[in-house]
Formats: sequence, C-alpha cells, structure tokens
Amino acid sequence: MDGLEDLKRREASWEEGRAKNITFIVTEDCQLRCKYCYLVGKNPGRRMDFGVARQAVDYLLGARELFDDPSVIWEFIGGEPLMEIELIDRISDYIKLRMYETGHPWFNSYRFSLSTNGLAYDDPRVQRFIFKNRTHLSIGITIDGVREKHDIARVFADGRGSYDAVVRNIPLWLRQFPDAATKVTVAHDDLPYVKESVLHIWNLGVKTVNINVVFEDVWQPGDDTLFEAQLVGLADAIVDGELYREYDCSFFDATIGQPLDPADNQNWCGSGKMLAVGAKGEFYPCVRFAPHSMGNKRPRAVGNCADGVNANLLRPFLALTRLAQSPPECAACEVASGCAWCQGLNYEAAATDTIYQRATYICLMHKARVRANRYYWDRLRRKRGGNIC
Amino acid sequence: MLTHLLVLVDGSAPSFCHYGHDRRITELMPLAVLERTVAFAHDRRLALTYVPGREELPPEYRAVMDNTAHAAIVPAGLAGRYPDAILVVDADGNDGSAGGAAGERRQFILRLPRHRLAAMADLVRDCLGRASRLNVYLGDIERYTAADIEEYGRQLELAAGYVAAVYRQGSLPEVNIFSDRMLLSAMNNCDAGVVHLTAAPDGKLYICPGFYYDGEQPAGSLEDGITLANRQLLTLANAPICSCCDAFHCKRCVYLNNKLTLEWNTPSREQCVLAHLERNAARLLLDRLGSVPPFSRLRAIPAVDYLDPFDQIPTRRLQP
Ligand code: SF4
Ligand code: SF4
Ligand code: SF4
Repeated sequence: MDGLEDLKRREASWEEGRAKNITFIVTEDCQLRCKYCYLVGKNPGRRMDFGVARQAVDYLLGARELFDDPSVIWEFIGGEPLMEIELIDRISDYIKLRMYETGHPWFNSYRFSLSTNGLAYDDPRVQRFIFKNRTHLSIGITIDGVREKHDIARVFADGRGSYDAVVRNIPLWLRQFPDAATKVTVAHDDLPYVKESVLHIWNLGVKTVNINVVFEDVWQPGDDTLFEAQLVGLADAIVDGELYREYDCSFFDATIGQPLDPADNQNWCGSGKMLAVGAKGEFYPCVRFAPHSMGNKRPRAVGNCADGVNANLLRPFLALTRLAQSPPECAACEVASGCAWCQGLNYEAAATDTIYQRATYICLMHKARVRANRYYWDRLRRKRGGNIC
Repeated sequence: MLTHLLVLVDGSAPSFCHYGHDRRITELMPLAVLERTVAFAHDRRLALTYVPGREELPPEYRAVMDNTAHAAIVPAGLAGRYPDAILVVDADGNDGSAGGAAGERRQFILRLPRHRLAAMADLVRDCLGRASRLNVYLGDIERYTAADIEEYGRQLELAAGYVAAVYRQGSLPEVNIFSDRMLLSAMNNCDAGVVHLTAAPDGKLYICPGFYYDGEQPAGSLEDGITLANRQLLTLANAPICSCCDAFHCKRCVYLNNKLTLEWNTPSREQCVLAHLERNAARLLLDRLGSVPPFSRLRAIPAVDYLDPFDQIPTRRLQP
C-alpha cells in the first residue's frame, strides 16, 4: 500500500506537469464516425500487436537517458481504445511488471489514462480493468452536450446519434471517478448548442468541462458572432446562478486575450514532448502525426521501437517556438494569449511539408471568445465586488 | 533579398557543396533554357554563377555564357579554360590537374566525401600553396557516425597546424573552416533560397542544387518566377536553434536540414557539432596566432562548453 509520503510525491509530480506522456495507438478503428474527428483514416485493419507493444515498452523503459522525466502517463488511444480492452490490459500488466523488475523510477510514479467515447464503458472486461488499476487510472468519457449537439457530430457509421448509448454510462463513470472531466469539441454545426450543452453536462454531474473550438478550416462568416452570443448567454447563466462556485468551463479563463511579450515564445502544443506509439511500432510526436490522422500529408514518424527515437527528426518539434511559426499578424496580435494551435493541423494545412506554419482558422473565434471573456469577468467582478478569485 | 542565380549548365557537374549526387552522364541544360535563364537573371538583376560539368561545352553555350558578366564554379581540371573560375578539387585525385597556372593563386573548393575524410588535412595542405581562398565542404554528412565526427576533429587539428605554418610565413589564404569564424562578427550563412536560387537543366528553379538532385519540389520556374511558399523559413530569423548560435561561419545548410530533420529551419545534430568543431578549431588557431598580424587585431572567439546549441535550449535536451 502507498504511504502518505508516496501519495504526496505522486500528486506533486502530476501537478507540476513533469510527467512523460506515452500514448499507445492500440487500434485505428472506432464504432463512431464523428464529423469533426481528425482521424480521417479509421480502419479495422491496423491494430497493435502485443509483440509491438512489448518491444516499445522495453525500449522506452531501457532508454532512461532519453526519458528521464520523474513521472509517466501511459495513455491508450485509438480509434476507440476500449475496443481493444484485452490488449490494453495485457500491455498495462507488462508495463507494471517491467517497471517493477527493472527498478524503474516510474514504478513509483505512473498513471494509466484513457479517453473513450464511452460506448463500452460498462463492458465487464472494461470494468475488470478499471477495478484492477483503479489507484493509477484516469478515464475520460467524451459527451458533447445536449442530445441535439452530441448527435449532430458523434454518430455511428449508419448516421445514428450516440447520445443515449453514452449517457447511460455517465452515472457509473462518475461513481468511479467523481472528479472526472469531459472534453467537448465545438464545430460549425453545433454552435447554437454551446450554452445549453455546457449547462447540461454540469447537470449530468460532470463538474469540469474542457471545451474548445476545432482548429480546422470549418468556420463560416457569422460564426464568431453566434459563438460570442452563446458564451455571453453562458456567462449570464453562470453568474446569475452562481455556478462558478462549483463548476468549471475552460472557455472562461482570465489569462486569455492579452498581447504576448516576444520573450513569451513557448510553443503551445505538446507534440514531440510526448510520444505516440503507432500500431506497427512507429514513434510519432503525437497521435495527430500518425497515418490514420493524415489526410493529405505524409505521416511524420520520429523513430520506431526497433531503432529507437531518431533525435534529428524530433529536433524540429522540440525547437518550436511561438514566433518561428506564427505569421506577423499573430506576432503583433493584441489578444494573442490563449490563442491555441495544433501542430498536427498546422502541418496538414501548411503550404509546404512543415510544422512551422501556424494555421489561424480560429482567429475570429478566439477573438469572439476574448470578448465573451471580458464580459464574463466584468460581470463576475461586479457581482463579487472586485474579487474574482 | 535574392541577388544571385546559380546555373547548373550540366547536371553531371561535380558537387561543389554539401549536397551529393551520382550523375555521371552529361546532362546539358538545353540551349534555349540557358538563354531564358540568362534573360531571367538579367531582368531581375541577378548575378550569374555558372556550373558546367567536366566535358567541354559546345561553343554556342560559351557564347551565351560569355555574353554577360558571370562567375563560374568548374572542376579543377578545367582551370585553363575558365581562367577566373572557382576550382572544385576532386578529393579522389581524378581531376588530373593541379588547378591553374604555376604561381597563380585561385579560389578552390575541396568537397570531401566521407570516404576521404581521413585525407582532409593533407588535401588542405596541398591546396594551401596555390589558393587565395579554400572552401572545404564535407559530403555525406547524413551518413556520419560518431567515429567520423571524431576523425573530423583530428583532421581539423592537423589542418590547423598546416594553416598556422602558412600564415606565419606571411601568406594569408582564407580557409573557410578556420578564417571565416575569425573574421565574422555576425551570421554569414549559405542563405540558399533567400539570397540565391539554382536554375537546373529542367528549366525549374530550386533552393539549391541539392534540392534538384534529390527530386524535391521546385522553388519556381523561369516562366512563373519564384513560387516557393514559406520562404521565411529559410531565414535565420525563423530558425530557432541557429538564432541562438555563434558559429557565424556555419553554412546553416538548409539542404541538410531538410534531409535530416525534414525542416528547412532546423539543423541536424551532426551539422551543429561539425560546425562547432570548426568554431573551436578556429578559436585555438587564433590563440596560437595571437601575436601574428593581422590576427593580433582580431577579436578572440569565446570558449563555449557545448558542441550543439540545441542542448542550450532549456527543457529541450534530448541526447544523453
Ligand atoms: S490567430 Fe488571430 S487571434 Fe490568434 S494570435 Fe493570431 S491574430 Fe491573434
Ligand atoms: S543549402 Fe547551401 S550549403 Fe547546403 S548544399 Fe545547398 S548550397 Fe550548399
Ligand atoms: S552550428 Fe547549428 S545552430 Fe549553429 S548556425 Fe550551424 S546549423 Fe545553426
């Protein structure tokens, strides 16, 4: 059993964000065909073989000089990872065994993490896995909001919405992970449902909603106005109902919308600092660079589990700065803070084969979010007499 | 700003830089393309540098070329036929020429394939007596091993000894791997795609000859001009690692960058380490020549404790 000091140490290191994130792409298949999903090449054929996973684990645990982070998050992703729960269970057992046998420091500081569409959450095999790893596990279920919104995008191959099939598993999930958060994605079609969707998810008992608009080139004239109106409505509901006391929505963030100092030159995206292991044992800077994520560009591997990490191929990712990839408008932008990007989309949308060209399709949406944030924080300040903390 | 145009008059011309190729059969730029290339350069006020191959060019080619002011980079064996050209020495000794008339000093390029690395210092010594300037470029860097890098360090040390002896005798040929860093106080890189482009026999424009030989996308054409997107990524300002570096003499070879890291603006570890071995060899050479004019007037090169500037970028350390 972990002692208090162990628990304290483990929590501290997660909080400091110093954990290495290693993602196994266990399958490229999924039951759903979500309309905004960047995994354009979903297929039932490419699933990870246990032998590949074993080779990857052996390499990753052996290369301590490269992977010297104090903690590790072993993540399983797809497609839909729970479609391969038996494989995940086997890989997890092997990871634990090898971390223990090799005396690896990560044995005292690891977590497993899964992000699922929730359809198979109550499957007995999934439940056994959860029980077995409950002290080292976090699971996120994606629920996109009200039925209308969820079912616009998160559909089965035959076009049916998946809302009911997911929501029935939420109570069980929340019993097992009371502090669980969900990740919501907003695209053009579901803009009218943003406000009620956030409120609905809170109503379901999920207190933290991590939400973002898609980075892709989907936005149409007027979308920013609609988005701002949704956020202002949500702000009113939060302030009037004092929901801020208990709930959290990542759209509202007091730090966004400021100009950025040139010295504040960090890359936004974590690709390259994490590592994704492909179904055939290739290493990618993140899952977004794997073959099933790439529409029109070559995938960008940075090594494989037989030859190890190719340090030269990883260098561009680790050297990325905000300014080296941003157009002049972004460098001079008055509301730049919090304006995000995804390296994978940048690469896919770039005019050449580079990760150094920032896609700015979300520009107007970010500015709308900034305006709504000003409204929200102003209202909150007035309500709370100048104290927003 | 684009100021120069390199013209690959013959695609089988030996490499004069880091890039390599294995074309041995003459691949002449069609005469009409050559004429259009010259007109293209003329319209844009670009200085021309011709790169012919080992074979004698037909007279009508020479007529077009000689019609305009130009420079040329030619195999050393053609020294006599191109009196003002920069001469490319064949490191395997196949050019059958000492390069240039006796007593005449010329500019030389020594391109050193990996299999001739151990001969570098001797080859440098052989060139010193007849060079006004010598540029040494390593080939096959993409295949360098740790042992090759160590060997390069040894060769630099030996070559520095030969160079020091020549300088002490009062002869001052510039040798890029030593004197460039001594003389520079800011970055002075190849700037392929920014300052110069290459016109290839296919009538297309490339960032540099290496991009042509590797079948990379052209940067434009004689008809459409430069169509290259993301050209800003070829500049120092958008190269995060190089921006923090003081190996001012480094070619910052975007061809090698593209080949080894898949990004124009990101150097490989090999390129950085080799450039820093040169930087450090230049530093020691300058120290040795401390009292010899004009070296006594040059600013000392500071010592650094790294060979790869990438390692200086916090949280990005990757190598053991
Ligand atoms: S994308 Fe638009 S909002 Fe974002 S930093 Fe650039 S200019 Fe500013
Ligand atoms: S990019 Fe410049 S340094 Fe590199 S091979 Fe081409 S011409 Fe030479
Ligand atoms: S040594 Fe490396 S970082 Fe420095 S200029 Fe050359 S390529 Fe760039």
